[in-house]
Amino acid sequence: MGAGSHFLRALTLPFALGTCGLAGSGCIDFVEPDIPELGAPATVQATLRLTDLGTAEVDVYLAPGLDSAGSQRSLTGTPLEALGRAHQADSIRRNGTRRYTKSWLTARDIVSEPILFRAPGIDRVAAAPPALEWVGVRRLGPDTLRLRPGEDLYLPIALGRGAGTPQPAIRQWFLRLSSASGAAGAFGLSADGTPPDTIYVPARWIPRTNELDVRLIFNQSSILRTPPGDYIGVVNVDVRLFWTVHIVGAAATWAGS
Amino acid sequence: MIGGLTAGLVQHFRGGSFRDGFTRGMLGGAVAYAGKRASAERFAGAGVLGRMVAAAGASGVRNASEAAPLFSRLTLPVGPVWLDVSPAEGSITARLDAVALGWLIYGIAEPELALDWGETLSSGAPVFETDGKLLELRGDSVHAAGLTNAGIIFIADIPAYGTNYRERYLAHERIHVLQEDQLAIQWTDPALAWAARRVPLLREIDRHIAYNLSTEILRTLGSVISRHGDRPWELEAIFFAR
Repeated sequence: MGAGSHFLRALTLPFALGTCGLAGSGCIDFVEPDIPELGAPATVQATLRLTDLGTAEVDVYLAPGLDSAGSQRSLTGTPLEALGRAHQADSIRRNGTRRYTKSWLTARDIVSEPILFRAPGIDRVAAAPPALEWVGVRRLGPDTLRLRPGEDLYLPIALGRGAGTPQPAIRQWFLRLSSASGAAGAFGLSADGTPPDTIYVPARWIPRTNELDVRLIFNQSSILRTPPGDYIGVVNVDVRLFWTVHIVGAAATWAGS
Repeated sequence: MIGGLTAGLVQHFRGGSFRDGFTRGMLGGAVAYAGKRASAERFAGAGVLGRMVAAAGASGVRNASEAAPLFSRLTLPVGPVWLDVSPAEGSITARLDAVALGWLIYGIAEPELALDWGETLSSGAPVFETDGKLLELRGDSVHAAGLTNAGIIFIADIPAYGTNYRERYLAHERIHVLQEDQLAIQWTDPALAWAARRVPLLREIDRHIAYNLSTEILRTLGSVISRHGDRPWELEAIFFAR
């Protein structure tokens, strides 16, 4: 090839130009991506609802998140445990978040049993899965009461079994009395802490009606964060008791007043 | 349309027929379009298939500009090497793309980058990837998941973005490779060849060395069109890789 003798000379210039071009235009900088959840704690948000009618509901949202290298965390295989059952996820999204939505009926007196919750195990998380054992509340006596107009209402209750660990950050209870027909309005009261052994409602606060629906809601919630804090749980537990109160001879009394 | 106008105008100024150049240039452009369509697909080898088809289309535009038969000379980029294939003569010559070679050496030498052989073979262009970091072309404020310089692809391997997003921006960069091939084959290479015919030293160089100056051209245009989403070549890449 005739050009062979010129080949090296021909190459010298482009290399020089190429090098200069690269030096002049600059190379590439490498930048850490700003991903908000990179290395952030795994989170679980749980709402547990149970009633003295034997209904139980579990609604849990689990976000395993990303480890500090940006890889999606996976589950260890230790399942979610709530209200005495192990649960599998109903849906898993591409980003690894899981949703558990369960509800069932049970013949057990579920409100008096210890309320147990343990989040699923997650790989590449140092903290133990958030877990708790809280207490419910149960009714003492019948669920249907008879009352004469002008009589005060007494609702005897007791806290359920359980260790109460860790101590819930928030405990509140709400009592609501409403007429079954809805015509006579409603009355409610609430307080922080656990409900007293007997809830007392003076007669003058009881709606004037033939039949009352009475509902007690005992709510507990906490943020669970065990060291080193890379797995956070936000748990809300809602226990409900129901009574029906018949006001004997109410029609004649209210008509005459 | 760009292929048609390019071939039509160039042939016209060379004393030929605008109509002939435009018509055949359009045909070459259509082939290049088909190549881009293929390159954006997600199957293995889509990139190399699309690149060859698009390069044949771009070669057709250049040939039409020169009033030569549409596929009389095909310029096919293979890594930093351009193969000039003349089917009628049965000849193949090779030229080294100095700019691509520079970026290839940079990719190999830069410790933040690793060559992804699988993607390289599938894309028909060297693909270098970072380990969890975004790319920023020095002097630019945009943090990119991918960059293409003279047909060399640099992508950010960030698992948090997910595989779907990675496939999309890889397809996006493959379209940029084809755009740069088109620019080089249709515009800058004929211009350099024209200059080389007038300067003896350049003529010698032109026989062995090619310069893919398309990245510099696009960067210059990019400084005029500051918004990333307003740049026609970005819109085309987004369209194909969507």
